[in-house]
Parts: sequence; C-alpha cells; structure tokens
Amino acid sequence: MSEAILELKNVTKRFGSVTAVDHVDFTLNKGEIMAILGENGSGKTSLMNIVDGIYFPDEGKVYVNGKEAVIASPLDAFKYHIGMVHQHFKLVDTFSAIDNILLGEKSSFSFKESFKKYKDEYSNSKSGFRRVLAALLFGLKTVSLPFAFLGNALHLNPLRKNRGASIEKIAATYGFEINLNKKIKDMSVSERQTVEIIKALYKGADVLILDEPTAVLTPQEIRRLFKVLKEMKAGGKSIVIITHKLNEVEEISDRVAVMAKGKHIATVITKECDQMKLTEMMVGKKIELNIKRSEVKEPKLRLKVEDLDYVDHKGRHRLKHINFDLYGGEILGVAGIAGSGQKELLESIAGIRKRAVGSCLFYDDGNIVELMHKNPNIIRDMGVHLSFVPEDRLGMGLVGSLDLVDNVMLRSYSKGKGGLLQRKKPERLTEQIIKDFDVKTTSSHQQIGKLSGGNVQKILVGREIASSPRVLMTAYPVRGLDINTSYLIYNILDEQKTKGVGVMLVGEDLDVLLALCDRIIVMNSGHVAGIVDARTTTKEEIGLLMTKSEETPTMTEAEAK
Amino acid sequence: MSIIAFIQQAIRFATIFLFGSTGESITERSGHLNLGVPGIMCVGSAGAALGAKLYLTLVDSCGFPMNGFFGVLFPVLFCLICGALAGLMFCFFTATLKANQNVVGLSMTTFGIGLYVVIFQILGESGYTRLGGYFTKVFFDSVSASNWFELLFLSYGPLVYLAIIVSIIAGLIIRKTKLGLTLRSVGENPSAADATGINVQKYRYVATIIGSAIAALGGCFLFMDYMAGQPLYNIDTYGWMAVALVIFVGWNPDLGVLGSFLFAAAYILPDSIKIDSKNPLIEIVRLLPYFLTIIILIISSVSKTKLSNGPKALGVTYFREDR
Amino acid sequence: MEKAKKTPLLHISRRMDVPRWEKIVIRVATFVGAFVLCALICSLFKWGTFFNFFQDLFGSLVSKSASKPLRSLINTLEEMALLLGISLALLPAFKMKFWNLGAEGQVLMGGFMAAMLSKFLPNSMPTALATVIMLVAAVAGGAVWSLLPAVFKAYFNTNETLFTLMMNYVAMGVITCFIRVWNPEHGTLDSLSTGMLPQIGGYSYVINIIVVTVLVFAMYGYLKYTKHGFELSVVGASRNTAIYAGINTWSVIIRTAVLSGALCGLVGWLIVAGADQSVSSGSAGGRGFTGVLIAWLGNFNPFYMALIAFFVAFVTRGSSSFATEFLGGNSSFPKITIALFFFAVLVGEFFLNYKVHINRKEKKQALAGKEAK
Repeated sequence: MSEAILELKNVTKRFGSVTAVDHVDFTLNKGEIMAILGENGSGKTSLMNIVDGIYFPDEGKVYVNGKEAVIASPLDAFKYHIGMVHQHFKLVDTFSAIDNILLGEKSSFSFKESFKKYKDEYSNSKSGFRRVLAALLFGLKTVSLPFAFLGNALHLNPLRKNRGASIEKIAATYGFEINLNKKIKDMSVSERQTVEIIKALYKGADVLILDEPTAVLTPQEIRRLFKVLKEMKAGGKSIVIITHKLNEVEEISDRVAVMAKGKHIATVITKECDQMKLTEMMVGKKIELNIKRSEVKEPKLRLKVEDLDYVDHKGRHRLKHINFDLYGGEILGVAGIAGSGQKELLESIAGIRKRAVGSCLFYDDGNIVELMHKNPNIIRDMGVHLSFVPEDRLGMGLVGSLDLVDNVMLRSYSKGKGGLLQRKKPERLTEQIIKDFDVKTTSSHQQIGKLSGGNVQKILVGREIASSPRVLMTAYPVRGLDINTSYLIYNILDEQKTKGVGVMLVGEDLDVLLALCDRIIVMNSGHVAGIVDARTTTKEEIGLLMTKSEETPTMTEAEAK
Repeated sequence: MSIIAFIQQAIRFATIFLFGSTGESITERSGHLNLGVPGIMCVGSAGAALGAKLYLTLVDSCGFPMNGFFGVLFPVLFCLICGALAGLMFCFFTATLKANQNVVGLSMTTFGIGLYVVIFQILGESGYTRLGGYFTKVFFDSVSASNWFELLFLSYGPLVYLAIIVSIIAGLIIRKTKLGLTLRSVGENPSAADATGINVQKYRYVATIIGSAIAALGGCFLFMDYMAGQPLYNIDTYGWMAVALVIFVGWNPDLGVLGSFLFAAAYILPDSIKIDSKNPLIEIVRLLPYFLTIIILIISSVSKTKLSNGPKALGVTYFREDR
Repeated sequence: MEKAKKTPLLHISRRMDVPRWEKIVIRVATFVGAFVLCALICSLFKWGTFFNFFQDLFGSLVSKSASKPLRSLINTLEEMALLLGISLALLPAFKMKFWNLGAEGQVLMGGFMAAMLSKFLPNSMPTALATVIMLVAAVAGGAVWSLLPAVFKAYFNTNETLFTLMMNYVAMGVITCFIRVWNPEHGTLDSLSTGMLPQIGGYSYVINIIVVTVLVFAMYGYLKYTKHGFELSVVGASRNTAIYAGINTWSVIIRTAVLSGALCGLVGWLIVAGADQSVSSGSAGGRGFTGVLIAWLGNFNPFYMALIAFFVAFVTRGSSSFATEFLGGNSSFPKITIALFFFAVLVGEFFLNYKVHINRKEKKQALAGKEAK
C-alpha cells in the first residue's frame, strides 16, 4: 500500500443554510488516479475547491504528506504542490498561453549568485582592452545589484521574448502539441484545457485535480487526455478526476470515491465494483439507466432549413450553408465541439440572430411560414408554435432577479390589452408547473435565481412546453442537472416526440444523444459535417465528423466531380 | 496669443488631466472603476494646502529654511498622503466591504468636494502664493524664456515634468513588465488571477492607492502651479474629464500625454481666440472640451477597435466564494 | 512548508436568507451609527460639539416661530421631496441598468425651460394655464437632455455614464449663456413673472411634497404592474433575454431614458416654480448626484428610498445649521456629513449581505499561548 499524499479529515463547508460538503473524509495515495463520482450538486467540486484554496472549510483539517496543511488560497495550494484544472477554465482571454502560465510566478533573485555570475564573466574574459571593458561592466553590474534586487522584489522584471522556453520543454516532455504563443481567446476548448494542465505542471503540481475534464471533449480528445494522464501517473503524479460519467470512472481510475448530497458515501477500488452498484451509491436508490426511445410514427415535415448562413458582427462566419429537415415525431440531435455553431443555429431559427440569411420554412398543418428575418415577437404573433430552451438559462431563457411567475410570463406578457400586466393566468400556470415537475421552491413568488439549477431548468422547460409547441428546440437541457432531473427531461422530450412535436436537441454527451435521438446532425466549424442515423452509428464515427478538418469535404466533392 | 505660447499653455494645463488619467488608468487596470477621481483631486488640493501651511508655519516660527526643495516637497508629500488615504478608503468599501464601486466613487466625490471647501475655510484662503513661485518654474518661467525652445520645453514647473515621466513609466510598466502583466490579469479576470495564486485584493488595493495618490497630484498642480497658490472652486469638472480621458487613451497612461494635451487645448482655446469675454457666446465655446469628450465616447463605441476595450472585470467586485 | 500557517482569523461568507427582524435591526443600527459617526466627525472640526450636533439635527425639525409651527418640518420635507423626486426619476433608468448621471443637467434644463416660458408668457394669461404650459416645457426640456445619450446607448452601446455626465456641463453652459444675454448683471434669471405654485395652508412648498408623494406610488405601480415596467427590468437584467422574449430593446431603452429625463425635468419645474422662483446654473445644487446615491442605497425600492431621502434631508439641514453655529456658515459642510452618512449605510449593507466569521478557537489558542509566555 502506498502512502497518502493528500488527506482530508471531517471537512465541512456551508453556504448559508446549505451544507455543500458535510463531514467528508478523503484520502489520495501517491501515484494513483482517483475518481470522485457524484451527481451535479453532490459537493464534489466544492470538496476539491477546498483542496485548491478557493473555499476555506468551516470545519475539518487537510493533511498533505501526513502533515497538517492550511490552504487558505490557491497560492497555498501551489506551495503544497497541488494544482487544479477547473471546469470553467481560469485563463485570461486576452493573454497568450505563455503569459497565462507565467502569471503569478515568483522569480527568485539572490545577491550572491548574481554577483558570482558577474565575477565569473569577468574572470573568463580575455586580456587587454576587452578585460578593461569587462572590469568596467563588472563594476557597473555590481553597483546595480541593489536596484536589480528592488526591481525583482517589485516584479518589475521585463517580459522577455524567450520567456516561454522552459514551458515548451515541459509541454514536449508530456507530448502536448500546442502553439503556446496563441491567445487564449483564439484557442479551442481542448487547447485551453491543455494550457491549464501545462500550467499546473509548470507550477510543480504533484497532485493534479481535474474537474469534469471530458465534458467538452470529443471521444478522440478524451482518449488522448486519458493517455496523458496515465503517463503522468507512471511519472509519479497523483491525479484526482471529478466526473459523473461511469464509463470514464471505469476506464481511468484506480479507486473511486462516491459522493451524494455533500456526504461521502464510500471509497471503493474500481475493479471491484460495477456500474450498477456505483449508480446506486451515487443516487441513493436503484434506478433504471436506460433512456426511453419511442419509435418514430408518421413523420410530418415541420421545419425545412435551406442555405442558412450567419456572419456575426465581428465578421466571423458562424453558420455556413446549413440544410436540413426536421420532422414531427422525431428527435433530431445536434452534436459538435463546443462553439461549432450549434447555439447560432438554434438562435437563428428562433429569430434572435438578425444577421442570419437563408430560408427556414415552418410547416404547421397546411400553413407554411417563413421564419427568417423576423424577430421572436413577430414569429409569436403569427401563431407559430415554436418553443426554445436556450443554453444560457439565466442569461437568455430566464431572468434570475425576477420571481417564478414573472419568468413564466416572460414569453407571453404582452398578451392582453392595455398597459397593465395580467398575472392571473401565469400564476396558475406556475402553480401547475411546480406541481407537475415537482419544483422545489418556497413559493411561486420566489426569486428564480435562488433556486437550484435543476429547478430552474424545470421551470424553463415547463414554460416552453406549456405553449404546446409544434417544434421544440433545446440546447444542453440537462447541463448541470442531477440524474433524476436529467432522466425526467429525457422523458419529457420523448413524450413530446410521441405527441408529434419536432424536437431538436443540442447535446454534449454523445452517449445520451445516441440513446435518445433518431437522427443526429454533426456540426463542424459552422457547417453540417453529416447527418447520421442514431440507431446505427457509433461514437467514433461522430467524433471523426466533429473534428475532420474543414477542407476535407470540399476536397472530396472536388474529387467526386 | 502666438501658436507657440498656445502650445506651451496647453501642455501646462494638460498636466491636470494627465495626473488624473494616469492615476485612473492604473486604478482601472486593476478592475476598480473609481468615480471618486474628482473628489480625490479636491482632496489632493486640500492636502497640498495643508502641507504648504505646515511648511510656512515651520518657516515662520521655527526658522526652518525657506527653499524650493522643501517648498515643493511638503505640499506634494501631503497631497500624496491624502490621495492615498482617499484611495485606501475607496478600497476598503469596494474590495473589503464589497460595496458597489459607482456608489462609493460618487460618495467619495461628494465627500472630497465638501472636505476641500471646509479645509480651505479652516486654513484660510491666502498665503499659499508664497510657495507658488517654486512650483511654476524649474529652469525658466514663461516670461523669462527667450526663445521657442526654452518656452516649449524648459518653461514649466516640476510637476509638469513629473506628470510626463510618471505616465510614461506607468505605461511601460503596465505593458512591458511582469508587474504589469499581473495587474492586467487582475483587471481582466480576477478569478483566473486568483487561481494562479495572485492576491487579487492586494493588487487592487495597491493599484488603487497609488492611482489615487497620482490623481491627487492633479489637484495639487492645479492649486499650486496653475493657480500659483490661489484656491479654485469646482475642481470636480477636471476630475470627470480625466475619467473620460482614460477611455479615450484606451487605458494606456503613456498615450495620456497626447490625449491630455488635446483636452487641454480644447479647454484653453476659448480664452486664446479673439472673442470679447463679454460676449455671451463664449459660454458656448467653453463647452468645447465637453463636446470633444462626447464625440470621443461616441467614436470609441462605434468603432469596435482594440482601443475601446477596457479591462473585462472593470467595476466588478471580486469575491472568491461567489459561485 | 516549514512554517505552520494559521487559519485566517476573519472569514467572510455571503448570507442567504436573512430574517426580516434582523434586517430591521441592522438597518436601525446603521442609521443610529451613521448619526453618531457624523457627530464624531463634527466634533473633530470643532472640539466638544458632539451633543451640539444632535441638538442641531433634531432642532432643525422644530420651528421656533409660533405662528407657523410646521415651518421647519416642511422645509426638511421639501428638501427631501426634491431629492426623492430626482432619485425616483432615475429609478426606471437604473432598473434598466442605464446609469444616468445626468440628472443635474436634466433638472436644470427642466427648470430653465419653465423659467424661460414664464418670462415670455403674457401676464394676462391665467396662472393655471401658464403653470401647465411651463410644466410641459420643463418635462420636454429634461426629456430632450436624456434623449441624446439614450439614442447612442441603444444603437452603439455608448458609455452613458460619462455621456450624461458631460451633458450636465453642457446644460450649465447653455443656461449661463442665456442668463448673460437676458440678465447680464446677475448670475440668475429674473424672478418668475407667472406660474408660481401657490401656498397651501399658509405654507409654501406643500405642492412639491404632494407631487413627489404621488410620484412615489406612481413609480412603484409603474415598475411593478405595467408592461413597460416589466420590459425595462428584463432589458436591465439581460439584453439577450429581452431579445429572446421578443422585446424591442431599442425602443425600451430610449423610452425609459426619456421618461427618466422627463421626470427630472418635472423636478426642475418644482424647484423653479415651487421653491426658488428663479434659475441659475447652480439651481440643481448637486442634488442630481445625491439622487443617484439615494436610489442606489434605497435598494431601488421607492419606499425605502423615501426613508433614505428623508434622512439625507434631515442630515443636510441639521449639519448646515451646525455649520452656521460653529463653523462660520460653511455651505459645503453638509456634503461631508452626507457622504459620511452614505458610507455608514454602505457598512450596514455589508452586514446585511455578508457574514463575518471570526475563528475564535484559534484566537483563544493564540491568546493562551501568549499568556503562557
């Protein structure tokens, strides 16, 4: 048995009346990969934030290498050689990767060493005139030492051109291929993650904590990441990986700690445990892990998108000649790396992106309506039953500072004559949604921002479904939700489908898309890389379509001609 | 007025804006939007008066030597201390107590203006002109300068040179050194900076305190150099212009040298062109710098260039445990 | 790590649901603390005047003249009404996150329009009609002054904070110019020739107080019960959400900012027609900025804002009579006490929103260690 490098004893963290971490014990051994498994909101991220110094525990102690450690800030964490890659990367967008990695680095400066260096330079110099010059330089440099010391103490070191050399060395050691001079804002998600990992390694982390590292990666990128992690493990690093995906736990970890509702349930050796048992520990009861997928019956054309193009206000071509049909009674998945145009696609159809051009015909039992060049209120006033659950719940779908009722009437407040709001109907609807979806709230006049993520999403989905849509578009509808709510949402989508609604689902978890959808559109840097049958395709095939370089399809087209 | 004299006057007057915008640029780079600059300039003036009075008392009653070095040092030192204290107060409320920065800034402005008037009433409004001479010249004053070179480059007081040096050094530090990199990261993305172990609060405190002390010098210059020791009311206007100037120069103190010159030229133009000062229309011509500011605001918002992007976390209070 | 680090002594966390009684206790403590702070600073300026400050403070509410016992109280209420009126005017703009710092200029333009019309309207015109015409002109003046920044905000997202601020100085310049044309000998326009608001019950200013009281309820209703109010709060929360909800954000921004300016114009009319009877470039007297702070520290709630406005008026009048008595009548002294009052309220807000944990155990251990030595 190897020794413990990191130990938490009886750690508790409260936020107001909520106990996020409840008397948790946790041990990480040297040279192992440990998974922390738990649902969203089970306290796994909060626990690791304590280790990283983001939160300070209300109770309990942290031990590093057997000694008690007080980690009051991320700086302390670095001192104990702990590095964390957060789910939302902590990088400065406008800086290059090198500057991000160097940020906060303390440079050492010693009088003696510098003096010795100068002296050596002098004694190594040739005789004659050069020696006189060297003596002069030596004298000047020695006199300037105090100033150099002061400048260093104030961090006034100039930013040198070759400051990235040592970082590139580390990147090479672990086989990361990345251009470190690129600005973060121009990088893809997986590149940003690489920068975060290099940063932690550069700062000398022996314990590396990764929070949901796979959420935004393609299957191929995940495999590459896991390979790197295993190499690091072989090199003696200890790794903690926070996740809620069971197959990843099995693939990568040696041991797994299961958390639920802030409590530590059990720590087991991965090989000795199966998925069913882990799920049971995580959720607290046996649940069926199968996603229901009804057969498609009488598909009717609901939406015909032709040649949809969108260039944003900064001139970036976000959507390129999108063509597809959506049928009532099917779930059409949309897959792709984050930022491949999924968000823009849905928002263009919903009328939110004014610059989008092309055609988007909406079929409603005989009526055909063109949706392009119309804003949401015009679309609504034409009687088009189009519902949209956007990705950014509290930034687009809802208003965090308003109460539930006001949020429920957000899309229908302008109905009715006169300038006054009519809250009667929305109030009844809110009560209905609270009842139907089992929303946990003190009242229907609670501020929605104070609810948990799952309850917020229930209100949003409930509102959008209440308008009995013909087409329902959802973007990442289960992001950040616990398993029960996620399955509730999957079931709602399936139920809508059986009612003849055309459902579009943008998702990031390919397993879910494959299990729930009928067809999947794969997007790749703004264009449709392919439309595949979800029942027959594989994760790898989708992964390839997601990452294939942009030129390839045009080349094959050329070849075909 | 000849064109050379006009430029000389503008450079001199620009110092007020330059100190203000340099200080505020440093502050804003750390993510603190300090709308208390007008108040801080007032506090700076009051501090300078305090220092001047103390020095004159020492000279008169204790036989302290009366010379240019101490004559400048005392007011400047007191001005810096008062400005730094005001900055400390701003930080205490915004960084430690996490109050809204706009509210604290506006309260600081009210406070500073009030304090300014009251302090001058207590200290008396006269007597400072004795030190004015030390402030208005280093080499020559504008009257004794005999050629255009002396007039344009050598005819200013020490604070004018100080302002230009400080703003250029500040610009270099912000863009070219590690300290500047850290400071920018705190203003761009404090949680990222925090995650790399940078003490966000410390940097914000230090940047704001230094920035406020520099901005306060604007008040000191206005009082001791430009007015040569005559107290002037409604200083706050200049403070607001300095805040606007920060946007114009894209948060770069060294560009502030040019920006402040432009503002100052617009300011003194009505007094240099030949309009009868009794003509009411001069009041409209006097609005030129304000119109200029408005036009600059519009231009910087219409053109989506790099210049118009301030620090991303400007005005956002950072609290590590916010989820 | 060689040195064992101590647990941080102070630790701050956000408070979630604060019980109502605790809120009230903290707020009352805040106000009491604010007055004590002001008194302390006053006694710094003039030693030993700690209790005199309170005497002046409460004395400012009591009238010395027997024939008009409510005189002083109404003066305080009138000052409060003007401040509250401006902060109410700013309220819809602030709710929409349009940081209108141009109240000073909008009030001035309103007052100026009223005064100018009073100069040109024929004396034969009935007072009521003249009053209405002046009111409309004042509202229009204020509205125009905020229209410009609003249009640029809506279309180009121009920084409205500084834009509106600069418009203040433009307003002052314009008014100074006209005053120099019409009345070059004085710094103000002539007193109103028509359109003054009448006294009620022997007291002037009563109409001002009534108008602002009505405005409190009207603004509360507008924000809470009308579609306009709903739209502007959605736009303020997120322009993306507003577009998603099908709100025309441009028209909401312009409409709300113009409303804000128009109400400032109304307050300008109250100042000119109901109080000063004349206008100068200093008529707004910094109330535009104080109004901003009142709206903010009143948590954008009209009724709580009224309370804060009352305290501000109370402190202003109290400390100005203190200044007259002890500091040789300094008109700027109240600025200091008001700022101190605001700072104290900010401290109170901190304790409402955050909890400070003191790690007592460590402290006790540390103390025990010291004693042992």
